[in-house]
Amino acid sequence: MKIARDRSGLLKNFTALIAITFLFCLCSNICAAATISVSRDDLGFGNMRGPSEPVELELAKYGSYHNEITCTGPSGTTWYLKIWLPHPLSSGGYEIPNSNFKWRVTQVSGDSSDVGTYNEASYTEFSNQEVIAYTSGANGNSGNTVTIRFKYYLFVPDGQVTGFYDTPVRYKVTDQN
Amino acid sequence: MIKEVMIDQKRLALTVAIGVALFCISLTPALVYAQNEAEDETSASVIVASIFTLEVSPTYIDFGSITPGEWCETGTGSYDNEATCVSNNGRTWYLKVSAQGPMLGAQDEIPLDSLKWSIYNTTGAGSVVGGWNSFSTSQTLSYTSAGDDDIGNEVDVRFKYALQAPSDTKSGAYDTTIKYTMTQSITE
Repeated sequence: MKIARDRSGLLKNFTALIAITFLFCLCSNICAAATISVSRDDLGFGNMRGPSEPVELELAKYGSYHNEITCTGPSGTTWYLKIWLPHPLSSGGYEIPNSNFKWRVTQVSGDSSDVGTYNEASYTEFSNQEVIAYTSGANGNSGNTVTIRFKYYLFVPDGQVTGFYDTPVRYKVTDQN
Repeated sequence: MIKEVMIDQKRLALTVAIGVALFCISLTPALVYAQNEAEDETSASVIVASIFTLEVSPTYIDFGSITPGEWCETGTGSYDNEATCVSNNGRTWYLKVSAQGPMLGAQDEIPLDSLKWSIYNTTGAGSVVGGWNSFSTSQTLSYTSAGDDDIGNEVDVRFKYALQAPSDTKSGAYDTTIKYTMTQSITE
């Protein structure tokens, strides 16, 4: 009888322990997960390389930028926004080389002292590998939402075959550099 | 007492099972949390316009004064004019030549089979129709594109011309219009 009561008490404690573990893990996940949201502005360059169309174009729909990425990184650590193309701009079997398609971070929300790190000065060629576009500062490391604004540039080389070229542009928030 | 112990053993087994299940479930968000990353995407696109152009230079071929019955070339030594073609359509194109009709004079005409064309050379990667060829009012194939010709490279096709008027041709000035056609259809 005494043994049975002891087992019952042990079971109750064990169940409570498991339940607390579950709630803790669930809570920590909700609190700390990275989030990202890309504004719904497609990178549409329109018609280019025709007799009356441009051969190069900067895409900045809102003047200083074209689209913005709203991110929340994992709290308490430095995080990164990466950008890349899964494949070059392509149409059928033809491609526009990545060296002709570029991006640039123009603005980041937050105080200048803790806004993080990015190269505002120049364009960077797209790559099929993930490239760091932004490294968080104190503001982002504290779990605050950061908005990163981009503009883009495309040069259609001489002799590019006519067609509709497209590619996804991917963005990722991660704590892995 | 024995019955009570047995019931506790069942409770123990059930509780352990629930506990293990809860523990496994609790690990799932923990693993997601460990990745600490999120991803989104947009799309980029551009329409590269079609280019399909033909320019001929010079646009005037002058044989000067000829003797009926004799073979006469314009005498420039190389080529008389060139057709400059550009296409970025990624497909084979064809350059064809034709004449509006016989060379007409005030009192006579020179039949078209007396007027000939030949390709001197080309800067393109395609194939040319060789030898001297008589003009016709229907379009005659002179050049077929290939390779880089179809992806925007400028191609010059250089022509020379010859005339052998019939020996009974009356004196006078004769002329006709030569037409150059760039097309993606070999049958048109």
